[in-house]
Amino acid sequence: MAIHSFLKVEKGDPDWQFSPERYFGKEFKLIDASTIELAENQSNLMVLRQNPTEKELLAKHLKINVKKDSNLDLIILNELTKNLQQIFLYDVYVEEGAGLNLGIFAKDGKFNKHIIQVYLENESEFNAYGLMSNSVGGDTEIITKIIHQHSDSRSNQVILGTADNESQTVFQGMTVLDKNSDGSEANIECFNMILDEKSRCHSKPDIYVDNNTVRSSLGCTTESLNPDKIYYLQSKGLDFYSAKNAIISSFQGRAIDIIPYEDIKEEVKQLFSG
Amino acid sequence: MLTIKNTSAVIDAIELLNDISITINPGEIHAIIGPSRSGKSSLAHLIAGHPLLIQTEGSIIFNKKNISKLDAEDRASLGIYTTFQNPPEILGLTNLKLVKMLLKAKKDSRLDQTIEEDYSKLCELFEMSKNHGNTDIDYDSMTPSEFKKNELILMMMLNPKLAIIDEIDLELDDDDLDIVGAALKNFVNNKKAMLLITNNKTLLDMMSPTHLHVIVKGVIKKQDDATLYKRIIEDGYSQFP
Repeated sequence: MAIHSFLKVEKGDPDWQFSPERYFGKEFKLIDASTIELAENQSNLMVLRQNPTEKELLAKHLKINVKKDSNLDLIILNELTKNLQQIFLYDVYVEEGAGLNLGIFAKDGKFNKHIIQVYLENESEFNAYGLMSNSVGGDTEIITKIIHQHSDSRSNQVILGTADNESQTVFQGMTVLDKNSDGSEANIECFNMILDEKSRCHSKPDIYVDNNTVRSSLGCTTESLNPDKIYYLQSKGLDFYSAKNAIISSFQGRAIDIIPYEDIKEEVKQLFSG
Repeated sequence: MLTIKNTSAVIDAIELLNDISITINPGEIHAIIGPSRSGKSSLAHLIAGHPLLIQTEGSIIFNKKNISKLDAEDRASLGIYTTFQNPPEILGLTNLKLVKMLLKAKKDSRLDQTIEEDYSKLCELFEMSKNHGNTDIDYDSMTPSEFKKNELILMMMLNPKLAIIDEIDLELDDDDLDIVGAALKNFVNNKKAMLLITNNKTLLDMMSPTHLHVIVKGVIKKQDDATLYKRIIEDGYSQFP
């Protein structure tokens, strides 16, 4: 699976303006383009609910600009029904000394794709954590491209996926540590759990390094819902469905528990339960 | 308490246990010894209700109830607890969360705070770290010996009537074995019983089993003298054709 060409990230790049028709076909209409901007020296929490609309095919574009020495906690919640095909593109620019913690939780949809491209300035930080799941026979995807072009920037990604009922999830994480990224650090982790025999979870974590002073790590695991684990919990007293739910919700909890706000954590748990 | 009568079992059409008969009464400790792959763990999981182990003949009666066709969780709810030789990791689940989940399923009336206090005492008894309850059940967070001791902490929290202990000594060093042996010995009283599967002479010495069974190729050879385990383990199992 190739990284899409539009994921070139430069401020002022002509591709900064997202054109879904060009990349996914003319049936995808951009219905919404908006900007979140956090002023210098600010700290804020935002929850963005990417609610489904009646339109079966749509694309939304969001620019996120975290200005110098600011810190933004942004949590994106999204659930689509099984007939919806929607694409969400996030252009993220984190200025010098600033930080963005992005939680992304995407559920279901026939085609539900979140593309996140991030540009990091000096001493900035980007942390992405999240969970994608599909159990309606569709495809849920999180695609990231993170560019370290300046010194001492940090990125960290922890993305989980679960697929059930002949569904699919895709995580494609590309991080570039460019030649000017002295002292920067990038980590990618992804964990998948396949819940039935006909579902699939794809992961492609990539780190491209062009600098000798950077640090990076990546890892990925995919497991199936193991009947031995269910039996283990049954033998301790849980019924089959409680055992299965305990295994799945504990797995999903590895992403959900990172959310630093209890009420949102509870909302996300509800979203993915059952 | 438990009566297994002329019971045979297969997995994937391969016979693992043949014509097994054992009767365990409250207060008794039954030791099962035997060479590897002789059917010791299969016997444990036959009693526990492993879904892939098919009982082809005989009966398993627990407290006057035929449990042959019950699922594992129903057998657990009657008071049967089995430790696993290799407990699985459950990513994202902490030890204390699991305990609370199991006690809730068992309709245990203890308050959360009491559960945490009881759990903490057991962690101390088994010389686990103070943070053990918040540790994830995975191999990055726990050592193999902690997994083994954790099986017994769970057991003591659930307080079963029959404990089936499957080679708990594997992965334990001498100090841990002392702790585990003492805890197991304390567990059995005149209302509880234990099926102890092990070839470890030290653990058998500590437990002083009341009954001894040798299992070879899926068949049990009952011994009249329970103290014979030392000699049998030293001489090997070739004496049992």
